[in-house]
Amino acid sequence: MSSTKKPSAEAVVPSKELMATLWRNMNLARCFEERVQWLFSKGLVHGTTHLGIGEEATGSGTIAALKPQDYVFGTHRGHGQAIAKGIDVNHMMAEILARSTGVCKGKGGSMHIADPDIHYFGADGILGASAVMCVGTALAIHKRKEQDRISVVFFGDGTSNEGATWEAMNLASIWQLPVLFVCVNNTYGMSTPIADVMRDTDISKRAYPFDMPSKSIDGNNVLEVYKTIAEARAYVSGGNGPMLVVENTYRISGHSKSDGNLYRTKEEIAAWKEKCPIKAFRKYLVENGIFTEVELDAAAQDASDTISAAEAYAKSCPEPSIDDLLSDVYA
Amino acid sequence: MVEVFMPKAGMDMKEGTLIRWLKNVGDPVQLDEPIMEIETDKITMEAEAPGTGILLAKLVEDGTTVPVLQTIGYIGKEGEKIPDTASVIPDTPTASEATNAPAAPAAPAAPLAATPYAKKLAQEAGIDLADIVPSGTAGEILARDVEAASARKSAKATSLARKVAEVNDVDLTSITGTGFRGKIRKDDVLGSGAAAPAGEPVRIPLTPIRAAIARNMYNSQHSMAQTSDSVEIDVTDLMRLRGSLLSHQERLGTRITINDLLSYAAVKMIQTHPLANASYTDTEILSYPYVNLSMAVATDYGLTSPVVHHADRMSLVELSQALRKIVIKARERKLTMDDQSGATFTITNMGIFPVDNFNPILPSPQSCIIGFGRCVDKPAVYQGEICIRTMMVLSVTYDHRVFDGGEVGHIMQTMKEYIESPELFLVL
Amino acid sequence: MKELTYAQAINEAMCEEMERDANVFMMGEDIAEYCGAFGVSRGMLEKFGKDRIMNTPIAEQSYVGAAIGAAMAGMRPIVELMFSDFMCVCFDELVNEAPKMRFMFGGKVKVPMVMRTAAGAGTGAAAQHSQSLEACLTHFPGLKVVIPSTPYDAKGLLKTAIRDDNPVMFLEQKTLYRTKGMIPEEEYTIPLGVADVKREGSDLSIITYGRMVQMSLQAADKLAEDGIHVEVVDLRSLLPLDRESIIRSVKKTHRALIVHEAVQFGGFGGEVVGQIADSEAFYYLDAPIRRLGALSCPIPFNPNLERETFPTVEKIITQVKSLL
Repeated sequence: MSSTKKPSAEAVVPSKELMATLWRNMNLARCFEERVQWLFSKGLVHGTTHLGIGEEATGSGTIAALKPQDYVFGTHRGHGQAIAKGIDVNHMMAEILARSTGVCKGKGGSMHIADPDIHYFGADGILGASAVMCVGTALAIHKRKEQDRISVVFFGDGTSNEGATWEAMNLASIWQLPVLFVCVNNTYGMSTPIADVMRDTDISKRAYPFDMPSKSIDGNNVLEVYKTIAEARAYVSGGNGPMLVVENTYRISGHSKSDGNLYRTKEEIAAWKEKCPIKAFRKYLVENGIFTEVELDAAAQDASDTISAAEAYAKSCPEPSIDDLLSDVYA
Repeated sequence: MVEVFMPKAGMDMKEGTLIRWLKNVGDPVQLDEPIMEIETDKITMEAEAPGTGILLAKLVEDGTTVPVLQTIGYIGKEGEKIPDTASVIPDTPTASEATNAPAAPAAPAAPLAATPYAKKLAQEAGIDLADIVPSGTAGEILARDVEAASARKSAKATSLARKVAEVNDVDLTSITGTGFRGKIRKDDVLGSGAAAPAGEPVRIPLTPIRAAIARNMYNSQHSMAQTSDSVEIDVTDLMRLRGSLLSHQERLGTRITINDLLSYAAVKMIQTHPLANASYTDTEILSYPYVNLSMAVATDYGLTSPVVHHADRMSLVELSQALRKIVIKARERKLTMDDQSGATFTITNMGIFPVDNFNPILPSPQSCIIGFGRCVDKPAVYQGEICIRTMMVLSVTYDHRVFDGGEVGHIMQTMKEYIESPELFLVL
Repeated sequence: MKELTYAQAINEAMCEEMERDANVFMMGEDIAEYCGAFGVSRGMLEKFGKDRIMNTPIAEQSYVGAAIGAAMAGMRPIVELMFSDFMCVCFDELVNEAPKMRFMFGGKVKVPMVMRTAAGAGTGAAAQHSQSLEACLTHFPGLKVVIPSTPYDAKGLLKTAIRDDNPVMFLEQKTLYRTKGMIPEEEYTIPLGVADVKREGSDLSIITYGRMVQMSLQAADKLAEDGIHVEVVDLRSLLPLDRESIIRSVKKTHRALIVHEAVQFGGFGGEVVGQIADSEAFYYLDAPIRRLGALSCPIPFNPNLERETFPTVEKIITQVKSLL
C-alpha cells in the first residue's frame, strides 16, 4: 500500500464454485490462444493477434472479482479478459476468423474484441486511450450516482508511460471517480524491457502523485489477483476514488505472431513457463484438496472441446456481406 | 477526279459567292447532293455536287466571291492527288459534322479549348466549336460565346444586316429588328448607333444583289433614252370597287388590292398599246405577244423584280394570286431564276410612302415602266364641282427609242380612263 | 425574434439542451467561473452548477477521452477545446477513438458527444492559436463536422449536434463570437448536412463556410454594384456534406469559387472541387473551378501579414471577376 488511503483488509474467501470458474476461464483463455496461434500458423487468421499465454491469471482473476455491471476496458492482449468478462467464445472465434457472426461483425478483429452489451468496451489499438475513456464511463457512473458500479481499465507496463494514462489517473483522482486501473506488467513493451524505459520499474509508485492507493502483486497467482481486486473494487465502489493494482506476470508467447523472441533468452522463457499460472493454480487446487487431478483434467478437456466447437462454429459462418461494409459508420 | 466549280446560275451571272461549304474535306459526296450554298446577284441557292466520291479539297473559303466556272474544289477517290497547281485552303468542319458525326476522323487543325458548359451548349445548339469566336482569357470558348453564336445563328437578320454588323463589329443580338417578324435589317444595325466609332463612316459592304442593282440601274440609265411623264388620276371609284371586291373576298378566294387592280389595268392597257410591252435592239423593235409582268418588290436584302409570266392570260383573281405568290417568294428569298427572268413590262408602286410623282428607272431592255404614287384625298373638280376625291399620280418612264411622247399620251389616257372607270377594264 | 451574438446563441443552445436532457453536461478548460476563453459559457455555472459545468485540467486527452467514455456510457457530453489548434493534443481521441468505436465494435455502441472549439484567425493569436483544421477532421468517417456562420445557424446546428448520436466536431469561428443576428423566440433546430444559400445569384457560386460566409456576402454586395450577381452557398456542415446543393448551385451559375479560411493547399476546397468535377455539374462549368484559401505559411503575428495570409473581400472580388 502506498497511499494514505487504503482499501479495507477484510478477508475475501473465494468459494469452490469461484475457483472452478477461474480454472475454467484460465483454461479457456489458454486453449483459445493456442488454437488462434495454430490457426494463424495455418494461415487462417487474417491480420495479427496479440497473445497473452502465461498471463491468464490476470484477466481471469481480476474479472472474477468484478460485477457484471462494471465497465471493463481490455487491452489488445485481451482474449483472456474478454473470455472472463463473458464474451461468447464462439462469436469471439468468429471475429478472429473475420466472420459476420463475430462479436464485432468481423469489422474489429482480435485487436478490437468488444461487447458493449455486457459493458466490455474492449481492446483498443491505441495505448492510453482506454484509460481516458474509462475515466469517462466512470464519470457517467458518478453523474448518474450509480451504486456498486465501477470502471476498470487494463493496461500494460508499456502503456503506463503514455501521457494519456497519466492524464486519466489525474482526472480520475481529482474528480474522485470509481476507476480501477489494472496494470498487467509482463515486463516487456513489445521487445523493450521495462528497465530500459522506466527509471523505477515499480509501476505502483505511479499512483503516488495522484494520491491514490496502489498495490503490486503476483499476477501469476490467480487467487492473489482475485483477492486483491475484490478488495480494490470494494474500495473504489465505496466512493473513495480510483485505485491502481499492478499485476506482475510474464508473456510466454511472443508480442505478436511476428515475434522472433530475439530480445529475450530461451532460459528466461523456460523459467517463466515453470511459473505458469495454470500450472501453479492446479498445484494449489490439488494440494489443498479442492479438486482432483481428474476433475481438473476433465474441466480442461471441456475447455478444449469448447474451443474446438468455437473453431468449428466460426469456420461454418459466412464472411460479412460487402453490402454491410458502410453500416455502423454512423449511428 | 471531278472539279467542283462555281456554277453559272443565270444568263447574265458572271460571278458567285460561295456562302458556305456544306461538306468537309474527306466527306463522301453523291452526284447532285447539295455540296455548297452560293449567292448570285439575284438569289441564294444550294449547288449540287458535280460527281460522286470524296470531297478531296476546297480551294476557296466560305464567303469568297469567284467568277463563274472557276474551280473551287475537287471530288475524287480517297487518297487521289489533286493537281499541284491547286491552292488548297485548310478545312474547318461544318456544323452538320458537330451534330451528326461527333467522332469524325478529320480533327480540326488546332484543338479548340472550350469549357464543359460551352461544349454542352454547343452540342445542344448544333453549333460547331470551330464557328465560335472565343472570349475566354486563355482563348477558350465560354458559354456566352456559344450563346452569342447561337443567337447570331438564330437571330433573324438579313444577310446585308449580318454583313454590316460583321464589318462594323456590331453584336446582332443587341439589335432589335424592325423587319418582317422582327427580322433585323441593315437600317436596324446602322441605326443602333453601335455601327461605327464617332466620326468614322459606316462601311456597308456590297452584297451581290446590291452590286447587281447598281450595275443594272447604271447600265439602264446610260444605255437607253429614258424619259418620264406623269398624270394625276382620280381613283375614287377604283377604291370603291376595291371595297366591293373585298366584301366578296371569300368567294373570290383572294384579297384584291389596289395594286392588283392597277396591275390588271396596266396589262389590259398593253392590249391596245403593245409598244409598252416591247424592247429595242440596235436593228429592230421586239413587241412581245405575251405580257410577262414584273413588279418591283423591295425586300430586306434589296430590290427584286419577280415576274408573273403570261399575266395577259389571267383573270383579275388569278393575277392577284400570282402577284401575292411571287411577293411572298421574294420576301422569303425563295425566288428561282425563272421567277426573275423574262420580264416584258414592269410596274412599281410607291403607294405606301408619301410619294406622288416619281421617275422610275426602266429595267433594261423593257420599253416601259409604270409607277403608282400614293392614293390621297384632296379637293378636286368632279363633274363640275369642287369636292374631295381620292387622287393618285401615275408616272411612266419609257424608252424614247421605242416610241414617242404621243404614244405615251395615249398610254396615259388609257390608264386614266381605265382607272377612273374601272368597270371598263374589268369587262375587256 | 431577439438579437443575440454568435456566442450567446451557442450559450442558449447549450442551456436549452441541458435543461431538456439531464445527460447533457459540459467539460472544458476554464469554462466555469471564467466562462471559457471567449465567454461562451457565461452564466451557465450559476444555472447548472459545477457538476454539469466542469472545469478540467489542461490535459486535453483526459477530458476529451472522458467525454468519449461518458458518451459510450450513455451521457451526452459537450467538451470545449479552448482553441481548435489543441485538437492536435488529443487527436488520438478525436480520430482513433470517437469516430471508430461504433464501427469497430460491431455497431453496438454510440458516441453522442460534441466537441466545441474556437477556430480561425483574425485575432493576432499567431501560428498555434489561429488555425482552421476542419479539413483533416472531415477525413475521418464516423465524425461529423459543423461550422456555423451566423448566430441563427450556430444555435440551430448546435442543438442538433447535441442530440446527434455521433461525435460532432463543432468548429466555432472566434471572430464571429461577437457578431449579432436575429434568433426566433421559439425553439428550432437545423439539420446537419444541409447547406444554406445565403444569397441567390446567377453569375457564379461562392461555396464557403464559417467566417468566409460573411466576407463572401460583403464581396457579393460590392460585386452587385458592378452588375455581378454571385450566389453564396454556406455549407454549414462539411461532414455530412450537402453535395446536392453544391451541384444545384453550380449547374445554375456555371462557375464556382470555393472560399475558406483554411490553408488552400490540401484544404476542404479541394474536396468541393472534386465533388463538382465528379458530378453532372462538370458539364455545366463555364470556367475552371477556383479555390481561395489561406497562403501556405504558418499564421503570422503581424496584423498586416496576418490579413494578407487569408482571403479578403478584395481577393474574393478579384477571383470572382477573373472567372467571369
